[in-house]
Amino acid sequence: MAASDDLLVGQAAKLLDENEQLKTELESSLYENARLIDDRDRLLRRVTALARELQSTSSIKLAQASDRADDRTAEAPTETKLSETEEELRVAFEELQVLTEELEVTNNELQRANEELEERVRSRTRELTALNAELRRSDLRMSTLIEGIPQLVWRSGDHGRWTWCSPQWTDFTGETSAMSQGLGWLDALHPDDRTAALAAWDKAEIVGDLSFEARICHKAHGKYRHFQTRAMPVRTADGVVLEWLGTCTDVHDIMRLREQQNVLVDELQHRTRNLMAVVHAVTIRTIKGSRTLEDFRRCIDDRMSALSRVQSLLSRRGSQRISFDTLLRAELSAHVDLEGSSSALKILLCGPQDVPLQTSLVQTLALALHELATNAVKYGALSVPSGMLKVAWHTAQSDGSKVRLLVDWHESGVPDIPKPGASPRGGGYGRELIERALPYQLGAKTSYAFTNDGVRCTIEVDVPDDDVRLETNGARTLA
Amino acid sequence: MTMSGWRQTVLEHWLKGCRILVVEDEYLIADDLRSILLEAGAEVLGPVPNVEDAASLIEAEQQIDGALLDINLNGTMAFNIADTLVAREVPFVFATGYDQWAIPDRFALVPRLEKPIKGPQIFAVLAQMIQRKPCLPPL
Repeated sequence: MAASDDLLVGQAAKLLDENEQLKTELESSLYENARLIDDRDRLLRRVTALARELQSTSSIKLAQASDRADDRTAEAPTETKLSETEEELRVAFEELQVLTEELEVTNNELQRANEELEERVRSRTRELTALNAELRRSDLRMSTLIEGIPQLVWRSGDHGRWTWCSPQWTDFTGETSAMSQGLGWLDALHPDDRTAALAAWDKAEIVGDLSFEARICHKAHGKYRHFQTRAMPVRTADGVVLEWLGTCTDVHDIMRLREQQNVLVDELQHRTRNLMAVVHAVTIRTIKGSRTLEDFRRCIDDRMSALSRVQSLLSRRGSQRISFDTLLRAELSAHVDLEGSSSALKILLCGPQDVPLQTSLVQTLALALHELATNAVKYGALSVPSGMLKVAWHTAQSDGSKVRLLVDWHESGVPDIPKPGASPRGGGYGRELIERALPYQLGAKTSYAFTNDGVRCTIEVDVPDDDVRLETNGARTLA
Repeated sequence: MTMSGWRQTVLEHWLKGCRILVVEDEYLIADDLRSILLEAGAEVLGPVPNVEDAASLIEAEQQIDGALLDINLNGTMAFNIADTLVAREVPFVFATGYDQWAIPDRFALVPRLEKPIKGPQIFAVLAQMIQRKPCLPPL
């Protein structure tokens, strides 16, 4: 676009030069014409004078001829005079002939020069007309482009005194071109950004371009959006600034995304560091609960796997919440084949699907469920043929508005129950998570006890407000 | 005993009898911090897992010699608690997974321990901050 415009402007300048030259030529030919016309007039005058003289001479001759008839004696001297006159007449005729020829030549020259000039003027006029049409088309393309781009476009004199704004500015700010002129555009800016905008203009005239960020009021929504403003000066060939051409680009969404990204990076940092701290704490506890290195190896392996599982659940779900049955199934599946035929007789899971969990609860609850399952497999209901595990859950709305999830982990058919007061066989880590960690972190109510033939554990936690589902408690047997 | 070993012992000694507030939402981490401080002979206030519990504990306690403060408490930033501690002239450190830029400028001089935190780190930073307090035993 710019290159073809330069070309057009160059062509126009060339044509103007040529026109100037033609004008000079025209002036000199006019001068020449005037001279030729003078010559012609002079010649005409002489031809006329000669013609008159010739006429008078002829009439004298006729008079003399009639006299001769009357008086033949006076013939001799008159004859002499008559021959002189005839000689003069002949010379005059010759002169007249020469002059007439000259006149004809001059006239022809004049006509040729005129025709030539007219032809040149016609051709230049055609070229100029074509060029004008091309300039108009180029102008149209430029204005279509300016009014079609998403940026708000404007023109300005020195010191940010606007002279024109594009329809986009008017559409966005509600300011007409007239309102935006001078410093009128400042009214559309956030009051806190106006001083900085004017300072940017002061700087622009020194550094040669303008650049600043400011909030501009969106008339339709009555809200401010962040814009990046830029402008460049239009200069003459000698570098004099004619005006400034500027654009305002909406960067609001980009800025918002950048902020969101920062928040997400923060959250990731927080989660990662916390996870490392949890891994550290789990490791320390496992060391304390292990008698041998082999004990430690097996136990830490299981616990790290539980942490990995819950991390993959958390990352896969994105912003969606993890449901209780998903978590329970994930933890049990790590220990037993829930789809297998033996599980069908030993494991009963009853409760509604899709009860959402608070994200902050998921990791600790997963670890707790992992410890319950591990202990069931090692010492409890899943370690003996007669054992049976039933996990039942439902949601309930207590006196307040809070909806709670109530989980009942119930093992039965276990003959070998530890005596009251005996040290816990799994190192007591699972019990600590249930009895202390869940209440500490999430205000959960929990219980953990041994009945006659197995462990019974209850967990009661808040269901997040944003996605409450109260469902009828349809019992379902898995596998 | 090596020089660093001596230093460690001295710093640990400085914490003896000090009342240290622990604000941390993750139970396992909170319990670890509690154990570390108890082993050094400090008295632990809390641990508390959220801003509300921390605020009421601070209000109820006459004497707090120092505090360990997690910044992100289950999604709530603990900067209000930090302001209260500053107002009461209680020295404290941030325990965090955040970069420095995520912390408001007014806390630029507050030491920051990156998780996971080890015992010696706590002793080094917290004990030196508290050392001007009257709970210090003579060396």
